[in-house]
Amino acid sequence: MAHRAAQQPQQPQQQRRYDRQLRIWGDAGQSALRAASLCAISATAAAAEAIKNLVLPAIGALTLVDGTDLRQLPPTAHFFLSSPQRPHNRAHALVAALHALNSDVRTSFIPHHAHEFIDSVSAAYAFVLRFSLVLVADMPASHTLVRFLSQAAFRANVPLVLLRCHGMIGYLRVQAPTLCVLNARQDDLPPDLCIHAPFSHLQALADATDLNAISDTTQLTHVPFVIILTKALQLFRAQNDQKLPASPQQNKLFENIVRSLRPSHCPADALNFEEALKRSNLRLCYSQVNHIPPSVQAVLSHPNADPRTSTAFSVQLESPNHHHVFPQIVHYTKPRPAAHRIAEQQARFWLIAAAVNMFVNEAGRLPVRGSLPDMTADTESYLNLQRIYSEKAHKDAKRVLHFVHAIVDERGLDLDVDDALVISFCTNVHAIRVHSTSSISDELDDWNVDAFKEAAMLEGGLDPSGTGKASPYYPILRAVDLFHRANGRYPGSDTVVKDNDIALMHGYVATVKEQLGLQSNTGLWRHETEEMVRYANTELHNVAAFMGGIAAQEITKILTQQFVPLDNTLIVNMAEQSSITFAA
Amino acid sequence: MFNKLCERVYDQRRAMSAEVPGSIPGGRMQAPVVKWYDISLPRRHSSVLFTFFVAFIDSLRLMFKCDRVPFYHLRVVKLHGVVSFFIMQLEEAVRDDVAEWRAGGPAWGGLDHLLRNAGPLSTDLNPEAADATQTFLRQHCKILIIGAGGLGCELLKDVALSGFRHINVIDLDTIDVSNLNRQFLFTEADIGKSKAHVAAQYINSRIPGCRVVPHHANIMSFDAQFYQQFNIVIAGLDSVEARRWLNAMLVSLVQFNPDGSVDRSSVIPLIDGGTEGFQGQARIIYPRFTSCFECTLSLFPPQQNYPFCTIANTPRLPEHCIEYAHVILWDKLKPFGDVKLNMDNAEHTKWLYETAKARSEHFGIQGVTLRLTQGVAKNIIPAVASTNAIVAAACANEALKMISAIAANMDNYMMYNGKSGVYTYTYKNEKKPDCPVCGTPQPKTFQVSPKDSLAEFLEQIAIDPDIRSKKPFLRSSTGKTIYASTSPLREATQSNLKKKLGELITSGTELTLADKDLPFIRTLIINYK
Ligand SMILES: [Zn+2]
Repeated sequence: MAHRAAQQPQQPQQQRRYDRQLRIWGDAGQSALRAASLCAISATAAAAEAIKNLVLPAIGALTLVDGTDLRQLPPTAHFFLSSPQRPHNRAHALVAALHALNSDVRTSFIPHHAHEFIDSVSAAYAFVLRFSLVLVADMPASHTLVRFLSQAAFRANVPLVLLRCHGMIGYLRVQAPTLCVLNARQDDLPPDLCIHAPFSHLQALADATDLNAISDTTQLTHVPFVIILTKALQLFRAQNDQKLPASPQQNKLFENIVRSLRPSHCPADALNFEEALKRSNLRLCYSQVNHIPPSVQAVLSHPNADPRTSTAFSVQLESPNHHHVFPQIVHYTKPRPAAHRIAEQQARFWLIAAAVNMFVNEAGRLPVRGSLPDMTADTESYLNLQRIYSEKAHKDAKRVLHFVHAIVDERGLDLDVDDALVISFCTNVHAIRVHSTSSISDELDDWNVDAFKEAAMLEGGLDPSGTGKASPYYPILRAVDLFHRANGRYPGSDTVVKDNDIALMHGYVATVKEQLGLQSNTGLWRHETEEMVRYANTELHNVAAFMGGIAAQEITKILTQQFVPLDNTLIVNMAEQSSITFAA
Repeated sequence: MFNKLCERVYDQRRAMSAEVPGSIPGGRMQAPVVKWYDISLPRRHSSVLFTFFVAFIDSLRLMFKCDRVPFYHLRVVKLHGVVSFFIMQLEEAVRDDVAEWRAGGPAWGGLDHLLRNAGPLSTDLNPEAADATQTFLRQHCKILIIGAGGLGCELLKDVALSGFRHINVIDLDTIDVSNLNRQFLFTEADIGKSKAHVAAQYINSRIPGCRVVPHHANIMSFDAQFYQQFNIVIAGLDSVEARRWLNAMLVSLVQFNPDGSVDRSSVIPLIDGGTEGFQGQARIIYPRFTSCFECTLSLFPPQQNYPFCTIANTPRLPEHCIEYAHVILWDKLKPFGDVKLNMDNAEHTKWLYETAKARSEHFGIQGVTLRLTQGVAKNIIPAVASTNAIVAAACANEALKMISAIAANMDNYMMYNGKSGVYTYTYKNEKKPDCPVCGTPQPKTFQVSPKDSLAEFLEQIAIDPDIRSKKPFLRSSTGKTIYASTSPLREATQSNLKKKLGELITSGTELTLADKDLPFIRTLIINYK
């Protein structure tokens, strides 16, 4: 039985405590965050920073896996581990410190190294199924544990985030076969006012408004521009075979019609007519009849959104083949009854998307969103207009809900969907997205060379004379992993053989350059390679804090299903404060 | 190199390495092997009780020719069951953590390793000076953190873990429950206490040897002499006014050589961070060398004001109803007598919410909620832990690079946006030649109608993108005060507000504009259309 992601109203005290973030992701986002269960493997400084930034906004549950005994480490200025009475195990000590930051979070830990009990893909699969998201810190991508986790998490559709810091360089990788975004919150999208295809109530309101008959100029200057444009477009269509303006000449013609609608007794600088003129162009970018934005179309034409053939409406996961025994999780605070999984949120997402597909097939357009921007208007005409939009949106959402129930009945699904979720899905239908990334395990053998080259080229990272770039550090990190696999340590970590490490690293970088089809013997990335050896896998607090902050933000975006997640690799150069992203 | 601009820091570091060639003052001062308690006292402490101590220390200071130290240390030592009191100067009281940072724990060993190993891109780094740099960083360098809020908490942790030991923090605010989702130095038990004091105490208890000195005060209550003592200032402020003031203060500290060139030893770099939601920016301001905050004021547009006629006559949105209750009804109805609206007062907030709600119901407007009411009336900026962590880390990283030269500083402005993927952009923000703070300002000409009232003109200068004066004091070139927004001249000039400009001044008149919130004086020229 799927866990119900209903929005639970927050308690007043919680409302106040989390007020500043509720203004970013809303109550729905907060409920999703509260329902999530995060597993973090390896409690390094960067991981600790990331987790701190998730504990403060109150992620639901947290399990830390780390077998490090703090007594074995050199004295350190770890902020959360400096209490003299701290427990000896690093995961235990960090959980205790984080619990003090926010007792709303359920915390637990496993005081063992993950590789001790995750020794196969099958064991990793059984393990990751327990969590909403897994964060792995400061391990080379080529580490067998990362391989196991990557393959298992990909199969289980559990997002995996890999976070690494090497001196001044930070690396972040997000892996997820599909990420569904309920609200991308991109505010540059124009509002959909349906002027190009007015629904009956809007058309009736436009018809009932006779601009020339309004003698009162105050009233005339407060007719909403939506009405003016609807009338103008009707006139244009009557003169042009019922077609929409398509060329710059026709746009001019349309603008002239808008101008001609202003009665002679109306002041020349009337704001509502100015707004109509200003929008007459903007509207046209969005006015292809029944236009569906490409990012929304990508969701609707995804095989998972097919009402008849999709297999995504229920959480169908193979059970683990073998029975795996894991070390017992030590619950620092009382455990939650069940971890809420991304896969369950996604089943609902695809079900509603399939219902929207059926709606589009029937209506030939997306459901009306119902939001109306502010515009010059008197209170009464604005509220009247707002009412007809919201009634139309409500009607459309009801129809989508009907299709949801039809699919549930027809397919015999065991999935309950909140009416409120369907309504909010339709309200933000222009902002739904789907993303998918390659797996980290695949990237090790066969990476997206073209995407990297394109991103590096844009940054100037393929130019040997350029400095201050972030892109060279992706191939260099691959070389670092090759070095680590061969030598069991990081380049530069033994200062006695530093020059030897530099020579070896130049060799590994040359190998990576060949994979990229670049000349291997040029001076390209020479300095950067030597800098990387200089960094010697040192951990600098500010780099850890910067990368931990970004990791936490990406995890928040994934768990709340809001904003647009990283696709899929980020390289940060804190020596020059530059960064690039690309889809590895 | 851009780094060279920071000569003040460089000179001091060089001087250090000359003074103590290759020596780490590790055994300089052994902390007593006893239980001890430290109480830091601000130098400005007015308590009579400590006047004697302060005088005593001053004489000690003269005797031992100590460097100026802005506060004193009262140490209570319990030795063999006998309690004795010592007053010590900060420098000696710093518990030595040299052994720890040289031993190379993950957090500090990283810096020491980078200091001792130069790379092809760290052109300013001299590995020979590693010890001197560590000594300078931990024992001599003074850093000022402005704000102990979302950015401030992160900044304090970041600079302390970077190795800075002499840290001052200024914050006027007290802790509120809505801070706890990101200001991790505070807990529920701290609500109502001073942010600066709680934050300082927390850091001092966590980082050995760290001495954070809190100032529960307004930044404007400190003078040039106070700011002059710092090597670097990092600001994590959300108020544009405070950032303008601080920027102008640091620019004003710059001295000039007789030949007119800048005396670089007087330049105090300002690192400024800001966040909003998932977006933020970090920048370095080298006064007189790079663009300053005032040069780029247009990047921080004033908050949106709703036109009066909309909120009064044709409200459409819930915000319009809230704004009407906030701006008009509060002053008109005076629900709590003649007091200013205070959104931190629960009674005031409740009144505002209910009044706005009643107005919205009267018009049939939906959506007035308590959250929206607070958002509109308080101009609340959405904030989250992760963005603060990102921007603060970028600022602290630049401060550490400035002091240590382990890498070059960025030049000079970084924007961060996490709304769609992860996007950062670092670019050189150019100086504005006519910047009123760091450039040569030109008189600003206004084309107005002589029929405009003075009040209308004042509205214009309040929203003008590079003036934004809300409390103006205007005097004409003939010496006549046209308007003063503060007493006692306000009463005398209030009657001018309704007068037409044509009645007050002639076309082409030069006006001098001063504003108690603005750090400069501007010349305005009024030309009639
Ligand atoms: Zn300037």
